Amino acid sequence: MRIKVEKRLETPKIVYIIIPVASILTSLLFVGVLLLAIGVNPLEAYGVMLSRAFGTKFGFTELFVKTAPIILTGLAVSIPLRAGLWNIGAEGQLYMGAFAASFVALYFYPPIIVLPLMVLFGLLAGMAWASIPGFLKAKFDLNEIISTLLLNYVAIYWVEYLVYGPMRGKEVYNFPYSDLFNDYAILPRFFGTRFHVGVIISFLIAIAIYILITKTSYGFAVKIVGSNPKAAEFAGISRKKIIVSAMLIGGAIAGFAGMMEVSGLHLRLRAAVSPGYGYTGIPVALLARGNPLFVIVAAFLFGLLYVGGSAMQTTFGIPVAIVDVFQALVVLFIIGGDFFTRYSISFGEKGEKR
Amino acid sequence: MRFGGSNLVSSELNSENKTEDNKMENKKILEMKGITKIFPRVVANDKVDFEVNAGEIHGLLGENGAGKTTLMSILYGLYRPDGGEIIFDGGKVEFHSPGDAIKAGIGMVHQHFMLVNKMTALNNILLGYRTPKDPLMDYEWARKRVEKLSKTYGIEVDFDEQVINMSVGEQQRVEILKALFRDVKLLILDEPTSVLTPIETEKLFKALRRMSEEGLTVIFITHKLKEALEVTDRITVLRRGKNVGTLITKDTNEKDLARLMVGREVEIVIEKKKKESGEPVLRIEEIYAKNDRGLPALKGINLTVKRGEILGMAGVSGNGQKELEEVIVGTRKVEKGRLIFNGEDITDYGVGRRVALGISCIPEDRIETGMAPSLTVEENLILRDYVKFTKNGFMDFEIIEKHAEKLIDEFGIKTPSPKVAARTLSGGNIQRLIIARELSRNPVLLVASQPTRGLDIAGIEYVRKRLISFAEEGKAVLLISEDLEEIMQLSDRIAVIYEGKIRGIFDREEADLEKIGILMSGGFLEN
Amino acid sequence: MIEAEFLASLIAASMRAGTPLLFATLGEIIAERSGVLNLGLEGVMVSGAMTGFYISLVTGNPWLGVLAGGIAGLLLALIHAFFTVSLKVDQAVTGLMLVLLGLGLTGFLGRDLVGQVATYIQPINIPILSSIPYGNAIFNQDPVVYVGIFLVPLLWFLMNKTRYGMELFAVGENPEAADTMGIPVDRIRFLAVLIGGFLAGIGGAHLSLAYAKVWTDGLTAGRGWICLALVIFSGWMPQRAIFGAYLFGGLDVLSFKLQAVGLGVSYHFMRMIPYIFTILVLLFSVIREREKFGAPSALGKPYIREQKF
Repeated sequence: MRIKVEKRLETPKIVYIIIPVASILTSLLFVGVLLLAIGVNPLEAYGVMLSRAFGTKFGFTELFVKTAPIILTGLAVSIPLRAGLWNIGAEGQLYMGAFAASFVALYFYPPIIVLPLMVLFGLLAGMAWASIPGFLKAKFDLNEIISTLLLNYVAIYWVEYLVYGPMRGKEVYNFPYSDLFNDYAILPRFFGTRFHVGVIISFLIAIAIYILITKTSYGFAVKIVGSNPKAAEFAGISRKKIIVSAMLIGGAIAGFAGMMEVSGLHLRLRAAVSPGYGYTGIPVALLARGNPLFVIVAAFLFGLLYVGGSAMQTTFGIPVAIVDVFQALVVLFIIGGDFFTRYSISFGEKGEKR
Repeated sequence: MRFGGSNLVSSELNSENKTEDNKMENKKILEMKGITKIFPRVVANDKVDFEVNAGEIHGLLGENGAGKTTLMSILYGLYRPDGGEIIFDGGKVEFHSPGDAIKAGIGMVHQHFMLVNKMTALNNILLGYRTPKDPLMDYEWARKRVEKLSKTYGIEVDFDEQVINMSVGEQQRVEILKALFRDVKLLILDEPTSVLTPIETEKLFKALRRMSEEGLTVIFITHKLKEALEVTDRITVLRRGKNVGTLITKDTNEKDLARLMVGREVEIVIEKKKKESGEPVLRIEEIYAKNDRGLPALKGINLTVKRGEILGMAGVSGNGQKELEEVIVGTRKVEKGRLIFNGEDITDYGVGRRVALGISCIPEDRIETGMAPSLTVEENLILRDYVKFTKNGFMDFEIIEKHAEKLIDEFGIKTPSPKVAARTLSGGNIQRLIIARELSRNPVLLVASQPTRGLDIAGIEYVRKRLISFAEEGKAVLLISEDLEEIMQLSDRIAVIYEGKIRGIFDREEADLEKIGILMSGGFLEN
Repeated sequence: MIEAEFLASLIAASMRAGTPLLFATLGEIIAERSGVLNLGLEGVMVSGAMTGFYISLVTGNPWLGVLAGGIAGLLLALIHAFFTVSLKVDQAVTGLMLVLLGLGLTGFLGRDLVGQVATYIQPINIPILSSIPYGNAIFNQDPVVYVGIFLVPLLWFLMNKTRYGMELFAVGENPEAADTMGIPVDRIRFLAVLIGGFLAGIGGAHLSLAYAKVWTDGLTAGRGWICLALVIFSGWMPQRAIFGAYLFGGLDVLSFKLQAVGLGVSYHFMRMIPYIFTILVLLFSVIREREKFGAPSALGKPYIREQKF
């Protein structure tokens, strides 16, 4: 008996659909086993998860509210990824965006300019934060994975420092919160739910990014750098400019996500702006294979997970960390499954047979 | 170069007979029977029978892609065959890894050296070897042994030097010692001369003859007829994965071999008219540049390429050719000196601006620099002028597709569609793609670096004819090649590069292989 | 005299705080030397930390805890090795998912451990050395600290003086060359990743059982990432790793001590410092190492023999 592993020249299209679906199902199975281990009936838990997301108006709009920031962080990871860069720092960029927007909301006036300025400052703060690893990568070839990640901690502790210190509100007792924003610093909401205008903007951003990276010459240049940096230089494309600009765009989008979360959801700056949306952007980008339209789809999957995760927490006391486990498993199964898209495996007798 | 078809048949028959005779006198050390190896795209070896006698130097001849390296990689345990068996040194063997082959007494010097650059020569030689003090490294014992081998075969190496600091010739000697150190009975050398100067080649041949005298068997893989004739006892020819004959070297000649190797009339002689070259297109003035490791690579290059000529640049690779290519393209920084293109100082121009001025390039690393493998064929065809295919910043996909279809047709690029990933193309078609892209924008100067490396005869012919017709249109070509024959055949003038300097420039008439060979190895010509 | 005593206790505390970093850094050096980048170090460490804490809590034996921590790290590394070495999957992707998996699993399974008190590792006094001036502070450490110190020359020796080290180096520099000399590339890489995971797991267990002495969600707080930077800082050399690890251990300690002294600097503000410092150190290493050899040449690249098609 002999196993022969060969590179495939072409992969049947159906494989690209089977693998993600099978991966999601297998991950649900694994997580189910974990739930059983702590004495929770997985079917019941998944039932609660689905009924929360699809059973009520509140739950359904909540699905969109949780999906929106994931779309944005998914994009923040995707764009640099197309240029061959890992932006693990969307979380930190989001926090810096939240900080800058909150700063504007709390201290700027007149009211009419506050919301636009919050958007602007959110974008710029995210950009500035992403520019550090981008610049270090372009100039010194400093590993962007490590630098973006370390900056997350800095950003999170910075916000923590602010809400425990200088920006702590006057009417929050001892909580690490800032004061509530004034009405003029809050994104409009609809349907009497938490569904805010930021959700719609997130979808529009995804479409705009889709056009940018698939239809324009900039997108083409990014693609060349991602495929082969040396060929890019040979084509007269400045690798450094692409690296920095891709990081800046990613950072800006993550920064906007931060602005959106404080202005649309929390209505104040707090220590926990995001439950890890920045990290969720990584599996989302991987699942979407860098395509912004697929990012929307993948983000919904994880949005559902967050909605369901918090439902499971309130109902069964299951830590939300289970969401991380699920994310990791899905991606691991998909990349493991990728093996079968890249290689064909045949079993046969040794020797003779063709 | 022509001889009758009947001649061929008889030569094939003759060779069979002679092989039979030989069996009587010589002991066979290796028999490969019915070896088959199938890769997803091609049958690399098709039921190949291959026999080698103990103590002989056996040439394995064939075009690029004929399956020589595959056959030897199977013998060396790197690939598992899909069929056939191997009998070595009296017994049936089955190698699952090179380790098995080494244990059995087979050594191989690969075309791309298998050395760890950041290790010393001695550590490379000892790689994976168990010295008496194993697992400790017994350097004293090893050094004695290597020094003895080095003396016996006349192969000299500085054992304490890091491989990264060695010349290619020296690296090859480390590779050979690495194999000899393991007491091999059979040594396989894959295209060993392609990186050597003529003088180093002579030395290598001397060492090979020495090995043969000591009773070692050598398999010498090559596509160069002359070398096969010069150094081997017998020659086996592979064509398209099949063994088409084994001949005794002293009874054959270049014509027969060429015919056997290619399987048809070979017309390698390409018409090249003597032409008066015109105005200078590119003037390279005292150019200094560093290599990737920050060491000086170009040390004051002066060169002029003129309209209507092919200027050939001869030299062993690693003497600054790649850096010069990059300096002209604009991807490498110039430390000192000037580049004048059509009277314009372009030293500080970026790549894009030079492309627009009409500088094209077939880069040495076609896959590493020349293309973006995951992008489609049509995208690769606009790789260096994509800006021209945009409207208001948006890509114009309709025109891109039309452009691709036109070039695929005109340059005969074999691809299922313009929309498949370029990496799925074969090496020859990737080269056509790059040539198509570089010539289609109607450039004034073409830098062609190793343009025929790895191509089969048909591909080589195609590329050479393209270069000549390009020059005949009044354009200029700088041809950088390790293949001296190619340089001699195509060039109007020949420049020799050695250690970052131009050591001599000849007109085609006054150039001869010996003079160029001396300059290539750093020697000087007596006047 | 007070300053000297303060210094001695600071050094001692730095060694204790630096030991988890040292173990993980040494482990990652081995893995990276073989050409496999394990970005999942954070997840591996945190798994070791939780498992070690849990086992010590259940059995009352911290040494079983340390061993269990190592095994937990090894199991996570097994996933990495299987994906990257056997399936040739992208090392960065697998590593990142390992972080999520480690943090997720420990957050999920460790929820009941928060606030519990386990049996900790006790320090041992080294008889003679601890009687020299200030030695009492420095040579009164727990055994894991000593093992860490001992590991450094051991690894240096193995990596530089033995065939194992040469083969590890060759596999990480030029796997094809190693393969053609009969060195089993995949087996060595697999093993290197497992050893790396085991050591990082022990580092994690030391963190929860000897340094932090509690379990909290995400206890490692980015230490895995700091170790990845330390590997670069150390130039992939064990003998340099110990300085980096203790330096960062010291930084950790200092931020607490300074707060205790009461300089009026916020605790949250001080917590940012190690991360900023790591980036600066990384930058310094990258600039300095530029002309030198630096990283293993085949780091992050999967090796597949029959690549031709």
